[in-house]
Parts: sequence; C-alpha cells; structure tokens
Amino acid sequence: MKFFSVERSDDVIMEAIRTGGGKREEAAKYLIDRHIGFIYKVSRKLRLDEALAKDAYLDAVIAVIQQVESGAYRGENKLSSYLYQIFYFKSIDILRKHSTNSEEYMEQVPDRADDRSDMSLTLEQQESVSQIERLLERMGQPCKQILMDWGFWGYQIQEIAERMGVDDPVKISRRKYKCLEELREMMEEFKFSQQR
Amino acid sequence: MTDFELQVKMALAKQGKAALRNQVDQTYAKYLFREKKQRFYALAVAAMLIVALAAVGFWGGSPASNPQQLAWEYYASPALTEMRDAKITHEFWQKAVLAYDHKSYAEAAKLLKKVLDDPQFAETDFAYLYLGLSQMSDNHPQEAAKAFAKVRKSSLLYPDAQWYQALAILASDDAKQAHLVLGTIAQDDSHHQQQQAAQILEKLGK
Repeated sequence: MKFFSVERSDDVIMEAIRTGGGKREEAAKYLIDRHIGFIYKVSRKLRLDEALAKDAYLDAVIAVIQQVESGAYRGENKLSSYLYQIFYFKSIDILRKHSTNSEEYMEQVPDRADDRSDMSLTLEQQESVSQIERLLERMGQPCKQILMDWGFWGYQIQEIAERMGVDDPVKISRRKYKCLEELREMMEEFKFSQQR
Repeated sequence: MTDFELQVKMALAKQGKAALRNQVDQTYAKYLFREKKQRFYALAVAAMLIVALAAVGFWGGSPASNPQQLAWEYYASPALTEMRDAKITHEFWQKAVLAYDHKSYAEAAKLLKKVLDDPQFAETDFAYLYLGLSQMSDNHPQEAAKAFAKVRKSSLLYPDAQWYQALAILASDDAKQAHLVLGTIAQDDSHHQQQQAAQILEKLGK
C-alpha cells in the first residue's frame, strides 16, 4: 500500500521524514496532498492570489520538513496545525510585500558593515548554481535521476539501485561519481568559454 | 562535501522544488474539481430540502428556524492559533491568551479590555476580535457584536469579525439586522463563510 493512500499519524510522518530517501519523498507528497485545501481556505480568507498562495504553501511544507529534520519541531502541536500556522504567516508576509504601504521611514540611516565583497561572492555562487541547473537539463535521464535522488531526496545508493532496477549498488555509486565529474567538466568548459 | 557538490545540491533543490510545485498545481486542480462536484451535490440536496420544507410549510408546517438557536448552531469558539501567534508581547495579552486557552472567557474578556485601555497597544483589531469571541463564548452576544463591529474594514481579520458579528446579532435575536450582515456575506464571492451565511438565510426563511 502506498504511503499517502491512507491517513497517517504525525509520528509516522515525522519518522518517514527523518529516515530520508524514499520515505521522505512520500512524506512530502503526502503532506502536500493531505492539506491542499489550506490553499483554498487561506487564499479566500486573506484574498490572496491563488498562485502566490500555492508558492507559500509549498514553502511552508518545505519549512515543516526541514524543522522536523532539524528537530526544531518536536510534536507539541499537531503537524497539520503547525503547517497551517507557517502557511498562514507566510501568506501574510506575501500580502505585506505586495501591499503598497510597505515603505518604512527612518529618522537616521542605520549603521551597516560594508558587505560588498560578500555580496559579489553570493552573486557569483548564485550564477554558478543557475548554470549548474541549466547544465543538468543537458544531462541524460539516468544521471538526472541519480543526482536528484541523491542530492534532493537523500536516497541511499542501495535505494537508488533498487529504484533503477540495478542489482549492484556499486555500479550506481560509480555512475553517480561519473555524473558529477561530467557536470564538473561541463562547468569548467563553460567558465573557460566565458573567459575567452 | 566540496563547494561544487554543495552548489550541485543547491541546483538540485531548485529543480526539486519546481517538481513539487507541479505536484501542488495538479493536486490543487483535482481538489477544486472535487470541491465543485461536492458543491453541486450540496446545492442539489439543499434545493431538494428547500422544496421539501416549502411543501411542509404549504401543508401547515413551519419552515423558519429560531434565529438564536441557529446562531449557536453555527458558532464554535475558534482555536487560538492566530491569537497565540500574533507576536504580541503585552503582559495582559499573554494572560488573556492563557485564560482563553483554559476557556475562562469572562477572565479573557476582562484582560482584553485592559489591553485595549492601553493607548500604546497597536494591534487593536486582534484584541477586538478576541474580545468579541470571549464575550460570545461567555454568552454575552450583544456586547460581542459591539466588539466585532470595532474591527476595521482594512484589517485582515475583518472577514472573520464580520461573520462572528452576524452570529452575535442573530444570537441577540435581532433578525432584521442579522439579515443585513448575512446578506452582505452571502453576496461576497471571496468571503470564506459565504456558503454558511447563505445556509442561515435559507433556514431563516429569508
């Protein structure tokens, strides 16, 4: 029976998230599916655009998963109530950002450290991440799947091998290494072409 | 983990999020479809009930419900979620939250009035909404209606306040005024209690 085809207790969902890999993926999809009605409720309650509410909802689900993983959420409230609270306040934040009266007036300009060097580093990193994203699109499906399972969902190599129907997990481990190397080479080629 | 692997993971996180966003879109589309279907069936059942009630009325029955009874049927003290998380640090506010949590509504109302007496207190919409809810839960609907009326129209809490105000007026047995407020809600397509307001109006026999 699939994880999200029946109602699950908070303990089961939290355990699945902490286990990682396939269980974490199923738990994420279960949470999204189970409480999707929050979008309808909150978007009408706050008169928030549905597309923005969907963004806020996904951010809230991801935040809940991260807080369960880090141990910040310890189950004092029901998981659904916790998700609702985070979603509700994220939606209010979005509303505030989109409101026309969001200007703040200050009598004095606050002191701030000069962070220009950090800023350029951040921008450089952001550019690299975006470039990697584009390069990932050019890679073959097996590489994309292996990297996604490993890097986003946190699957163990054994689990990835099972998902791909490969008997020997060592093959997947080697393949993952090759995929990363291929990606690194593509990235270096790109940087080289930029310098010329 | 190397810098490069970290950047790959960040890129994968963006792609993974985009995939999950697709899932949200698809699941939400299915949810809306289900909702529409359910609403259609609910309307069909409501229409049949109205016809049945009209028939009963025609043969000597009484289709209209008691307004006060209706108000309490639809009213339930809401959970504290918004009140607890309003990030308000006022001393009396914290005590009011505790009192409300313990269902000591009279005490909560007393403390919220103290909060509102403080001219420095800025979140008056929150305080008036929960003052009204405390008074309503403590069976003082007339006072509650006055508190709800003080929540400003520009506030995000206004739709809630408007709904509870309608119930408080109904519970005060002022059916004429309740009709007006319920009618406004029932005509507002974006109001989250639109259906319930329409149901009450139907039950009141318009």
